[in-house]
Amino acid sequence: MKNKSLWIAFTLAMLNAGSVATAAVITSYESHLRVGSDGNGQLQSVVQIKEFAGTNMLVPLAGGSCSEYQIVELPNGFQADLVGPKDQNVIAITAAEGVPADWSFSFSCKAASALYQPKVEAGKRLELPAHSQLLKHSFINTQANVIKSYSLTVVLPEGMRVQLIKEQLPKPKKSDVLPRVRLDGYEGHQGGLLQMSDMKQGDRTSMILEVVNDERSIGWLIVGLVLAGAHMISFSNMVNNRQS
Amino acid sequence: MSAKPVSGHHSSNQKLLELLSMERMKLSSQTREAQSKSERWMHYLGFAGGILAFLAILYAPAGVGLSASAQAGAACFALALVWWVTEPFPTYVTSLALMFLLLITRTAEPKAIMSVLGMDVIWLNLLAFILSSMLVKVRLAKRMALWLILKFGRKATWALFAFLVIQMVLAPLIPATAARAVMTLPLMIVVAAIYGATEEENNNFGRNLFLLNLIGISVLSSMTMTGSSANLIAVGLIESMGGERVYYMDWVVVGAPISIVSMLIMWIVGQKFVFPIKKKDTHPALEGGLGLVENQYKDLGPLRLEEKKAIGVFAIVLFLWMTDVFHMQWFGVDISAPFAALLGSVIVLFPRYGILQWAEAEIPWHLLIFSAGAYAGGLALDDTGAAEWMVRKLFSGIDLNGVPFGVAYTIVIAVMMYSHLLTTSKTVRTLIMLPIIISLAKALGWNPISFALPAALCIDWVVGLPISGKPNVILFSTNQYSVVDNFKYGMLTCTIGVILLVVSAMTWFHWIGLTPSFWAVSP
Repeated sequence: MKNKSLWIAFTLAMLNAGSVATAAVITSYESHLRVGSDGNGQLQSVVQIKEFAGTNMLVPLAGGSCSEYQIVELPNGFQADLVGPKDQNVIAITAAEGVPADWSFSFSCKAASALYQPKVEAGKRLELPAHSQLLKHSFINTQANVIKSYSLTVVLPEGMRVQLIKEQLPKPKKSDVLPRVRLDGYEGHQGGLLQMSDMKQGDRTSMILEVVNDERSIGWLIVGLVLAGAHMISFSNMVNNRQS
Repeated sequence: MSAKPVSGHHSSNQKLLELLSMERMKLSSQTREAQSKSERWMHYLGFAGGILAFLAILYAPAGVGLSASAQAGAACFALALVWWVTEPFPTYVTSLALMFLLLITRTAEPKAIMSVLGMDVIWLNLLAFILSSMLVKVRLAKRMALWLILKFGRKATWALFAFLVIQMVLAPLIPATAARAVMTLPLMIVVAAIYGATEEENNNFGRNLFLLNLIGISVLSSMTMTGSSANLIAVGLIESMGGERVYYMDWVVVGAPISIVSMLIMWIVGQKFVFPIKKKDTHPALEGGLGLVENQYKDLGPLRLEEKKAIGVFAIVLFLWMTDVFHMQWFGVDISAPFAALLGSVIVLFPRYGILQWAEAEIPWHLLIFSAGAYAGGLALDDTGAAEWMVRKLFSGIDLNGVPFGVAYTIVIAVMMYSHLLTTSKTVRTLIMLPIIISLAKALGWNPISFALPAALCIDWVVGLPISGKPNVILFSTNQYSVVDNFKYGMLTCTIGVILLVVSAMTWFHWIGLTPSFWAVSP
């Protein structure tokens, strides 16, 4: 029964997002995705809201879908439920009368197969080396409330590193100071930070990281030394005094 | 035995005369021959040295802020840098090798590597060489060079000074540095030839001439904030992040004296100490001396129709280069520097009414391939974040808390000045460095503009290596100097720039209120 009413609320909200949305500004939406060695991830997000005036609002979900959704922190007088079809999950906030205008909440959920090897259809060419895995994340502000600052920090499992940032959207403008995705060390492991500011309704940000084992093939060393040695021997006449 | 030098002298004079009466501008694709034993050793050891640099970086412990592709990109770039400097084989072969390495180390996607040949700078080079070929074919380049020598170039030092003035006049008019390089290149080649400097037989006049022009084209761009688009980006960052507006004249007041004084110092120091010009090279090397130059000039006669047409075409292109800020208002479209040159090329190559046939256009493909490789490497460093990581590491390794303003300022200026060796894009360098410098100034408790504006003046000083800037690539193709010559001259220029900026901070920057007292300690 509760689910049904939430579905109705969600549908109404999606149809009339502009009129139903509560006036509020999401000042900060920070998420951390810790990926385990099995490729599964645990997402934890903290959402800070200001100028909340009303009784309900919808907050888009980082990543678009999740399982084992759990509220970690929520002030009294508020309720935050996950609603909507898979891959289009949103968090429906309902609030009692007289709640504070500035507040924050946090939630966590499981991100299954956050790190994965894309399947190759029969007869198609490989687009990634066999040992590479992908980590994809995209976030769309589906709601009317502006998100002033959105960020996602990914923490990779031990022994893994980013080979390449395959996608980071939207492309930073020349006036943007920070890159869209920045790699750094988090909790002793390598990770990446995706960030975007002033996300209006419909704005999308995304990243795709190619992840590999943190070790280099010894092949480069062998080939390099052989080539260098061969050159030293076969071109020794360049510095030989007896040359003509 | 005594006849040999005479015939040698005759043949050298003949060569100079041939070059002077050139019908075509020839930029050789031959590797510059090693001129000393140490250069031969450099050629020999360079190959292995490049590979060792590659392996050392590739297998170095990875920084957490660095992707595997960025680390591989830095390794590839180091290899190419060593090969470009030591020249175990031609620079364009190194570029091709670099492009292949970028692919197999998975530093860059094939499309990104290949598309550098379509970059606007490559197009500008190609089209500007068509225009240069036109100037050479109709002998306008020769006429202008001879006139220049007769007016100012009776002595080598004044010939060099004349080029300094030309670059100073052109810099505020034509923001595109590559365009300035290409339009003055034919003059440089002819004047160098008159003073006995050819690609086969280099001399110190040639080194001074080409390297003075190289630094002039870049350094004098910092006279005005419109001297390059990177300067404008810096101004935007200072305003948005530092909260200080920089007006046109603010920039000119601090930028113009620094760049002009640096150029004058290099004009003197270059010919006296770096590459001292032998007495025999201080006068035109042609038999018959200035009399011959005068005769050659007279032989050209009055301006011919072809020359007038060439002047007309060049005037159109020059007009479009100079008025680019008004294009949108006038034409509803921005005609960028390559497209202005493209229009000029269409007119030049037009059947019957044009001046040049396609086969007469001297397009140095080896130079374009060299440039493409350099840009592919530079872009890979920028796109993978390797350049940004290196710059951040440079700054984060130095603790500037509690040190006097002057010490922090000197370090910031030096890092900004020499960091051009790490990237081939002024824009990218500006976008990486300026925000760090502004944040650093704020964190240390200084007014951001006191660090940021002097640092912004260093943006255009991309003079250390032949791959550091577009004009460098173009001038290097003349084979008039080596990579080591370029490095020596460029680094000295940068050092003089740093010293001037530091001395300015001690004195008149402080007097006009740009910087605090040099030894002041942050509250």
